[in-house]
Amino acid sequence: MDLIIRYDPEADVLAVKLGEGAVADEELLDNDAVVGYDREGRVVYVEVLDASKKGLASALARARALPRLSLRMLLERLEEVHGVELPESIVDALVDWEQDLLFVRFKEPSGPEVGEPLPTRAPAILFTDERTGEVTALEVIGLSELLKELERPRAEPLSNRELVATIMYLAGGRVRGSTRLQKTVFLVQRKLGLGSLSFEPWRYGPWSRELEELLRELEERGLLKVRAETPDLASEFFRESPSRVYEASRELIEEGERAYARLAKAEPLKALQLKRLVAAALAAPLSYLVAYVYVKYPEMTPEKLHTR
Amino acid sequence: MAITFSRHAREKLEKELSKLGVNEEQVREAVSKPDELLYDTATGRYVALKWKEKLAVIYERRGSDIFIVTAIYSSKLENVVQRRRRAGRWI
Repeated sequence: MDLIIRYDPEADVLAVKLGEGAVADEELLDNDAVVGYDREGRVVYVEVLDASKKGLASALARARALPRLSLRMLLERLEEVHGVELPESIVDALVDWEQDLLFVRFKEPSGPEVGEPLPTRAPAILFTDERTGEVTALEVIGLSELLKELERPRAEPLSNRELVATIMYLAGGRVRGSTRLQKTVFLVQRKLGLGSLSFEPWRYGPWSRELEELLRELEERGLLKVRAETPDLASEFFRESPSRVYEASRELIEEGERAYARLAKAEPLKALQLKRLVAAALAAPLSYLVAYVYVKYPEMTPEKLHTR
Repeated sequence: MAITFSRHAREKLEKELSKLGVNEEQVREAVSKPDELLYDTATGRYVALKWKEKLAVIYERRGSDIFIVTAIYSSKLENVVQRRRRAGRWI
């Protein structure tokens, strides 16, 4: 069940509902907390008497800030989807999950209020001040249905080609070394669930034949250039000897940019994680990157390394 | 003497204590005819006790009216009362 926190300012009692069970007994503790237990002795709720005097007022304010933040996001989404304009400030809000209700008070009305249904599937009524015409309150009956209705559509999954294109876009169009590219794609797939390439344990950790074939196909179509490069001093120092450098065409980079923008719109956090992961995987010395994958994914290391 | 219930007390009676057979009428009875009435020296509130019902009602006096803060049902009511009396919290 969801944690329910209620504060009654007049009685100065903070009540926290923790479990579903029926209360069988209560205990008044020396610190003025009343604990309700069920038959099995599990805590069902706690109420704190004189809550504000016990320094709970500030804790409560912090606790209330979180739902308020989510509420603000919900209201913004409601504005976005149904084109209604809602006031910025919220005077009070009540969420009752048991009754599946939401009531938001934006402003105290100066007189009678007029209710008008919103074009939502879940019944929702927007109240305005009859005299001033200002929006004063919102009432939603069937909050869970409204939440489903306002849920952002999930991003279309990236195809394997789009995944490679996105990595090339984030890499600035150039990746040095097939091992590095293989490990980067592997990490992105494992950590963020993007792409559906199959990997198997190989000499330097996970390797995907499918990815090799995809790169070859992109090369044949002129979307990717693969050329040999002589190692520079830095890569020699880190014992990197990239035999292959992958350079994406403008077309492939643009395809990656579009795929990334689509992901960022639907799942901004994941897009940010992808950006960071690709940057880290491309900047790390190859030996570090390989070691990281070995440690994190021992099942993908060659058998010889397992036995050492 | 008017008896009013706090929002918390009313909700607690409806949602929790009703499952233990405690109702609004019993709370009113405890306040108007308590087995014992104690004064909370820390908060200035009153505690009306009903031993058989294992019920403690904490309330405030507001002029001639009574404002019920909460009601507590506890099988360990005697222990709590003893402890608080010894500490001089409830007199």
